[in-house]
Amino acid sequence: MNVRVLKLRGSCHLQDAGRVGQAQFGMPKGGFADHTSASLANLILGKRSGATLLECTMGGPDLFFESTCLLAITGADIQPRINGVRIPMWERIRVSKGSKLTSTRAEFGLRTYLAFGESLVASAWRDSVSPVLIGGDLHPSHSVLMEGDELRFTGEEVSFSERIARAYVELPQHVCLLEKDSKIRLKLFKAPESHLVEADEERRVEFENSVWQISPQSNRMGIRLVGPSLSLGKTTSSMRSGPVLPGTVQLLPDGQLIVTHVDGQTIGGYPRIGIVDAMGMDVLAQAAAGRVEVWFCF
Amino acid sequence: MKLKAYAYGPNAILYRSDEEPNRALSIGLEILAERLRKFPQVLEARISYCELLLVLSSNANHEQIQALVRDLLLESSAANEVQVPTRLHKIWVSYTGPDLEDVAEQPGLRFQEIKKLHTGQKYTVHALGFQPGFAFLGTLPAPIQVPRRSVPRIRVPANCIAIAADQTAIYPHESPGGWHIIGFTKREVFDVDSDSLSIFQVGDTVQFSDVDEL
Repeated sequence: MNVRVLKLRGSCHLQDAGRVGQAQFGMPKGGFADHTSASLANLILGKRSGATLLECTMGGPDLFFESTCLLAITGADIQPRINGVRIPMWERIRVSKGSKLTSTRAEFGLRTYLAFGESLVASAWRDSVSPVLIGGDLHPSHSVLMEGDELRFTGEEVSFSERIARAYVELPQHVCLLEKDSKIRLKLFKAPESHLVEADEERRVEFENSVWQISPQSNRMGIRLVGPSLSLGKTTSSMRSGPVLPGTVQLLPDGQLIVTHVDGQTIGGYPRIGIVDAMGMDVLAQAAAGRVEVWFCF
Repeated sequence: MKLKAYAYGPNAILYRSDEEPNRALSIGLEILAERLRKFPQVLEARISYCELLLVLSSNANHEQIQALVRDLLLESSAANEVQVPTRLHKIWVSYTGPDLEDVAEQPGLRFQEIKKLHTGQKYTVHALGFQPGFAFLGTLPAPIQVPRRSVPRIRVPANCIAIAADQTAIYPHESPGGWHIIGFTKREVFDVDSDSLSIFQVGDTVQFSDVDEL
């Protein structure tokens, strides 16, 4: 079966669970930005959670289905319609041959996942289809979709597993982010330089009362948080570089924060004042600039 | 080798040595990391200067892993020090970077001394990371140790030689960066076909030379 990409509103990538065990060479993990939503799209169709799907950021695609196909859409609501008729998100939909999917920009949330019943044919680079830009070259080169692209499938529909599909009982907590402007309080776990903000009671209170906005400069490499400009930052530009991983929160010299995201660097040069866990990162992956306020607590 | 464990979120442990960065420490840490990578609960083991990061699977027992690290450390201190043959890379540099003047503002430092100091010693590869192909080299001579730029550059050109704190490196790709650019090289250090994506390995030795003296 084939699916044609008619129109894109934001960016659209092929993604999977990413590259594990290559960070020692400076290779980011990559993979789904919102792991929970992506896994659910696959699980709803009875596929394994890390199967290749589409990750669309800031808006959905329009697609033309050249044959009948199973589809599941999760994450940010793109008001999907098949031949003009609204279809639900977070459900298994059978799309018939010759149908057209249309969608919109996401009003709340950032990232939408589209999984298909059959397996996508996609070439991997170093064990993953997740696109990584190295020195101006994209690897693998076809994982960032363009209008006019054809998605090809193996032709074998994955056998539907009711058991897997039922394994999720309720939607994840962070779905609330996808329905309204939100204030979110994230648990910050201790990291090697947490003492800078947390050992001193006064500083900890100041930090935990600080409100952070998502900067529009955020992307899959890092989520920049703009806040009250912590005075501590200034002292920190001569640190030796150390390992960071997705979720690591670094305090920049201008007192702002950067949270390492899935495509982020593997070593950073600023104090690692905390780390957000995987569920917290799924929440941040859906946090749109200007719509979400973030607090941290240890 | 003595390492202390630090908390780093629910799925990672960071080990750190109090030693100043040195080649024997980097090689010791890399050998330990290599051993730990064989355990299925260890998803990643990677080092940077005096630190070893372990990323663990969600079902890993942290106490068990810490005991394992203690055992491996005891074993390695009981065994004779491993001799790792030195791999030396010679890198020719044109010292024409835009930040030479900023660096020369360091007290007691003269402009011409920067390249003399930078080429005057060998460096050890203490870490691979930040981005594919990037190697962290140390230790920079004290007179040219400068903090990172207060505002990072949006675009640092590929193949430039940069310094920050007690570190120096070659940027393999155009990217954002906060280090001071002191020169350029024609040597490609990124290797897309190699496992490590770099011509360097942790523990390698690097010597910079001034192309003007060719």
